Amino acid sequence: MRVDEAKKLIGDLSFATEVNEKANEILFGLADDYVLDDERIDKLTALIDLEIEMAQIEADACEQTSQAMGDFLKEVDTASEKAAVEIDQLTENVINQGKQKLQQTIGEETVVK
Amino acid sequence: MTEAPPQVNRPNIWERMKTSVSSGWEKFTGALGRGRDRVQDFAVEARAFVGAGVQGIRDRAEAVIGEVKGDFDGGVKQTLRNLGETVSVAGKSLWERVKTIGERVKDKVEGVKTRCQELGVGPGLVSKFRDGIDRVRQLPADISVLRAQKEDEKIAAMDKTAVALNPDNEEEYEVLRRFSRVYPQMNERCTQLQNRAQKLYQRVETARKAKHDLENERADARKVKKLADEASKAKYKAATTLSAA
Repeated sequence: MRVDEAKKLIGDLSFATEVNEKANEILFGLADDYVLDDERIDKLTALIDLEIEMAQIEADACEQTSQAMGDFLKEVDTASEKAAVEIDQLTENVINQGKQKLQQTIGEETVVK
Repeated sequence: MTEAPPQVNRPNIWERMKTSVSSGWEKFTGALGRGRDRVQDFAVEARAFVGAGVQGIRDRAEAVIGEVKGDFDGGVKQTLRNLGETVSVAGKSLWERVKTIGERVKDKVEGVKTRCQELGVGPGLVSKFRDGIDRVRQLPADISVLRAQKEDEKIAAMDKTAVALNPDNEEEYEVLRRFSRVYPQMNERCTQLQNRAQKLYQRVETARKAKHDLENERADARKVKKLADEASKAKYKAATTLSAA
């Protein structure tokens, strides 16, 4: 791979500033048409490996945390839905009981009269 | 009738909670609002039913109305306690999972640090990387308001949640306000994290492809060199043979 091709490849990768500096250091002073030797290619691939490792660690952490948060939200959502059903049932029960008690009250009073 | 906070300077949190959080919470606040309306309607209907009857009937009707209200409030409190406990347990579980993720990442960060030193990459990268990971770990921190480490704190948190829908008390209002903020914020952050993870996985793929290309180029260059060497050797051998002949 020629130096100009390697520079393009590195540019496309959007390395972190510190990694980019190191990559430029490896290619510094070389003519664009110079074909990279094995040693330089090894150094560049090691930098790419570092970039892959960091991105992978952060991506996994984001993914796992997001999944954990999603599970939490789902659980809260399900519990809220269950609570909504309970409240509807509660309302139904207390109103029906109230009506019965009221009927009973009126009935008893009528009997007393 | 829904009992909205009467204070004029407060945002209408009751309305906001109905619209800005999960569908489950929306259903819950809806059911609560409907329930309160029906209890209120029952009181109006009961009073109208006994009308201007004798005092004894009216007193008994008022007692029944009081019982209905009491039963409803008691039931709501119990439901909220259960909900508060579920949220508390789920929050604690989330906290533990995030803690475990952080612990796993800790060793990996050390590995990156060593690699950076070996490759002579600036130390600033490690601290930036660590900050990034720390931010991920801190994202669900808002749930701390709902999680409790000790049993007595847990009970206190549940009690607060249970009475949180009574907006007359400043402290309770604060719990309600926080609760209403936690869900949408968590939801938003969850989406942010998913997007970030996708972006990073894409980056990993691009870097892998670049590495592959670089290694292929090297392999091709080696093949070309090998062929050139072989051709050169053959040429030399031929020349030697010819010269001997």
